[in-house]
Amino acid sequence: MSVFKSSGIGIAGIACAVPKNNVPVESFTSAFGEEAIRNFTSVTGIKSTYKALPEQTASDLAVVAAQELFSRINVAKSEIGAMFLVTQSPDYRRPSSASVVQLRLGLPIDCSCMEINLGCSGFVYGLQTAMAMMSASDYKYGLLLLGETATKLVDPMDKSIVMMYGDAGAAILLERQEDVKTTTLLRSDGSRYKAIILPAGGFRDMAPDHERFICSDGIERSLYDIFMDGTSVFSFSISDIPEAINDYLKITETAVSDYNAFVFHQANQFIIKQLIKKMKLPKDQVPLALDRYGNTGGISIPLTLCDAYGDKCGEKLKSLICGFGIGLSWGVANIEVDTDNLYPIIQTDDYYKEGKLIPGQY
Amino acid sequence: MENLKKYNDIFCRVMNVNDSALNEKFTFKDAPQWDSVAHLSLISELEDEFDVLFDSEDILHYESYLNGIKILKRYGVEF
Repeated sequence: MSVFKSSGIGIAGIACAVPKNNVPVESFTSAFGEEAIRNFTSVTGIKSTYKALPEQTASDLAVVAAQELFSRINVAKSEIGAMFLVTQSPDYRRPSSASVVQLRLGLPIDCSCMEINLGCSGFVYGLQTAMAMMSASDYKYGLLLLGETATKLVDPMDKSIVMMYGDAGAAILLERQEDVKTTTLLRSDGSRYKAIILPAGGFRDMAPDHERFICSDGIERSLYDIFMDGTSVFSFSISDIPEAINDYLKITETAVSDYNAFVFHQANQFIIKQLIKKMKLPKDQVPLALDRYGNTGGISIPLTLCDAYGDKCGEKLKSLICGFGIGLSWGVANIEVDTDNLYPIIQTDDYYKEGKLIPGQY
Repeated sequence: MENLKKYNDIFCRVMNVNDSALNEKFTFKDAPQWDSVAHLSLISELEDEFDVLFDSEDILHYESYLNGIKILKRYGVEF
C-alpha cells in the first residue's frame, strides 16, 4: 500500500492568491437560462469564481502567493533547499515553469526546483514529495507552490464545466518542527485516465483539427476542450474517496474525533455533503470555499484553509485533508497548522510581462 | 399516497415538468432535462425529503422515475 510517513516537518505558513477578475455564475444566465443556473448553484454550491486575465498564468498566481508568504514570514531564501510547483497549466511546453518561478522569486542555485504535473490531488502529492525530499536532506525550508488556470481550457458553451472551474495559486512554506508526524496515503488509477482529459496539444496529438463533435454527455466540444465524464468522476468521488478515507483512519488507527477540521478538495457541494453523511463528520468542521472560488484544482485545500481560518488567531488545526481528481489520482493526509500561519487570500492582476517571448528577440 | 405526492413534487420541481410527464417513459436516457446536474439535484432533494442516504450504486442507477420508487421502497419509504 502506498503509505508514507514523515516526521519533524511542519507547515510554517500558507498564502493564496486569486485573479482580480470575479465571475458570478449569474453572468452565464443569457447563455444557459435561469433554470440551469439555479440548478447548477443548488447542486454544486458555486456562486462565483475568479478567472485569470488573458495574460495571467498559473505561475503568476503561484508567484504572487509566494511573495505574500515571504512578506509575512521572514525567511532567508538561501535556506530554502527545494521548491516544487504543482500545475497542469505551465507557461511553456519547455522548460518547466519551476525554472521561471525560481528566477522570479530569487531562489538560489542551491535550491532544487521541479514541476509536478497533477491536478486536484496535487496538494497531497506535492506535500508528501516535498516532505520526503526534506527528510533526505538538512536544509531548513522547503517551498511548495501550486497554480492553476483551468478556466482557459474550457469551451465557453460547456455548461457542465465552464461555471465550475476557478483559477488560483498557493504557496506553502515547510520547515523543520519537532513532534510533527504526517502520514499520507496516495492512490492512482490510470485505467480511468480518460475520465478527465484534454487530448490536443500533447505529443500524442500536437495540432489536430479544431473540428467539433458531440461527446458522450451530449455536449459539443473539440479536442482542444477539457472533457469530464461526469458519471465516472462522480462515481469515483462517492465510492473511492470514502473508501480511501476509511482505509486511512484504519492505517493510522485514528478516528474522526481525533481531527478538528476535514478539508476536502472543493469539487462540488453535493460530493462534500455525501462525504459528510457517509463519514458521519461534524458539519461545522468541514469548511467550504467553493461557493466563492469554485473548483480551483489542487489549490482548493490550501485555499479553503486560508478562507476558513485565515482570520482566526491562536487555534491549532489538526486537519484531515483529501485531494482527488484527474488521473484519476487521490490522496489523504493529516496536517497540523496554527491558524496564525494561514493568511487571508489576496487578489492580483500581476503577470510576468518578460515571460512573453517575441520572435527574433531570443 | 402522501409520499407519492412528495416524490412527484420533487420530480416536477427539479425537472421543471408537470405531473402528467411522470410515467414509465420518464428516464435519464429519454428526458432531455435530466442531465447530470438535475440528477444530483434530484438525489439531494430526495435524500433530504425522505431522510435516507442512498448507496453509491443506487445514486448511479437511479435512472428512471419508476425505478426510483423501487429504490426508495428498499430504504423503507412506503408508497
